[in-house]
Amino acid sequence: MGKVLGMNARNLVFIHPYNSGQAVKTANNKLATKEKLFAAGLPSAKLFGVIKNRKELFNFDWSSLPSSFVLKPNFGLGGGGIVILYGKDKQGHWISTGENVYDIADLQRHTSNILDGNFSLSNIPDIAYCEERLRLAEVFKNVSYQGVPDIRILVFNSVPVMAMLRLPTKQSDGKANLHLGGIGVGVDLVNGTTTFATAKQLGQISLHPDFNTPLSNIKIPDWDNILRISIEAAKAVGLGYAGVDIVLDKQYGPMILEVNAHPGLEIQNANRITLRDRLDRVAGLTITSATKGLSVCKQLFAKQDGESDLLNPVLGIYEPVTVQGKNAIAMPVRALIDTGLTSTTITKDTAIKLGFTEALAAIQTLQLPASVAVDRAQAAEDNFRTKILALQSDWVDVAAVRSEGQYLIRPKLPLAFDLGGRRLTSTVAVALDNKLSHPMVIGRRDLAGFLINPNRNKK
Amino acid sequence: MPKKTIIGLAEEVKIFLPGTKKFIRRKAKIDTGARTTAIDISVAKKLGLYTVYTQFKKLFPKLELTKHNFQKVRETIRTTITPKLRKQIPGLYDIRVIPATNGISVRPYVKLHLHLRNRHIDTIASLVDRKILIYPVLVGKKDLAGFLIDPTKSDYEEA
Repeated sequence: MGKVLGMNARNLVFIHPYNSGQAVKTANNKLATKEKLFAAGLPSAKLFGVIKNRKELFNFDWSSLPSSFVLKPNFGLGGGGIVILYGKDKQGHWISTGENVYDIADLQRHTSNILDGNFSLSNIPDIAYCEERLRLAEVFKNVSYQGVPDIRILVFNSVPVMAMLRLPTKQSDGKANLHLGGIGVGVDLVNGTTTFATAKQLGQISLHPDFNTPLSNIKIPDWDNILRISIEAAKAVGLGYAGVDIVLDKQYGPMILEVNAHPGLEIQNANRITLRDRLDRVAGLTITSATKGLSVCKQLFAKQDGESDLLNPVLGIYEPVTVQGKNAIAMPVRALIDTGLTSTTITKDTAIKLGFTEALAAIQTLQLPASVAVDRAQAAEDNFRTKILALQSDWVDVAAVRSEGQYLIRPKLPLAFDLGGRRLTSTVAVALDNKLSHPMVIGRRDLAGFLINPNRNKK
Repeated sequence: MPKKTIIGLAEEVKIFLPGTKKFIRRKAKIDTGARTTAIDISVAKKLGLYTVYTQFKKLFPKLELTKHNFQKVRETIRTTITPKLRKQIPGLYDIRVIPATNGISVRPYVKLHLHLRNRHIDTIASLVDRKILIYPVLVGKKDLAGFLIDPTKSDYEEA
């Protein structure tokens, strides 16, 4: 494990030597950034209007704006002061996040707040501007609450060194900012696939808190193009060390949102990779073009042999699992991760809650013994397998489970469940006597592709 | 953060003879479903701890254990039986009541020094009669701190 990059080292070793005062000034000024990006032919959201002072605010023609746009402070930070308007309702009012509705007076009031500097860096008077609203790409539909996610690429010396997908949540009010409660998801630089996820207060997570959808293994489309654009964006603004935020628009593809001169350090937690080593490896290189930067990135940060398993999701001893039952029942349970058990097992009670009542009623008619002696286990297993397959369509197999020198016979049914950010389908044994320490115990057959940390979430 | 060692579901462990630098090697099953480590009586024999098991079987009183009285019995064992038997049986460290899938069992515990991969582990282990012996040692989650388990890493032999 390498060195974690802290704030002091980031500022003294990387930001100050590599980011000139002028470049930082440009990056902090979103409109100036936009100008530089457009001049370099890079994609960014269309500008609809700029309001520099009260006079311009007074004269501003709000009706000239389309029904959907975003109102932003020019020197804003951390997503504060941004109003997203999705469209107009029947009364001609704009609809915003969280069922908020804005009329022209509301927009004027908010713009006035922006001009006063209420959302700007060190509260200096600010400029407001309106730009085109970027729309959610299909690929992120199941992992975004209301707003659009953005992709943060950390670019150093024209080489992308780390990437993170930031997802909006209910808690973050549809914004992708981590300190507001958005989710940071690490992205493998080489193939653009998501790895681990972290969120404020929740810590390491594997499922989206609002939808219970897996966060790992999401393949971000157009990945190499995203990396290339990020290199060019850092260069256009003049930053040697930059956090480039890119939104993948439904229609336009990658669009640069902003370029940060002081990108945060949480990206390390989301990736579970430390930054310092990566930055040191890139520091002395001469990178002449974005193409070169991209190829260096891929060579340097390709997975090494044996490192690949570190990208597997890590499970603790207890994990939240969402089990898909009959009739679209999705039931959350806390499962025990048990490498000592072969097949994943649920209690009869869990099976009932999942809607397998018919299957359970059918099995009553069979006289399944509670346990059988070791020498009779194989015969009993075969006997009951034949019977159970003919019994009811949910039952597909039986399992003979060693316990205290005897065998327990348990019937099995197919089940899908989400564990550690993955959807698994398996045949799951049912403990008909309900004798199981947890409502669900995950056995080793379903644990391939995960790592288990016995020290995590002990209680 | 210290580097975690990745282990499989089956690992070789060294078990030290109590109070010596001599050890025996055994195949161990890595079991996150078990709290403490357990060794088979065949291993206990090699370690010179077999008498703990036989004496325990002989001296431990017959108790009727049910789902309902087991908390109470557990308390009796802890307060009266364990201190008495510890005096009578050298090497016995503790007696614990284990609720298992197939009824409740009472097991004797001994102190044990293990070596798994790069780590020395001072722990306690229960003595059990594991009749079918593919894995005469079972390492429980209490002794697995600092390891990451990769279920695909080693060839695990199913019983």
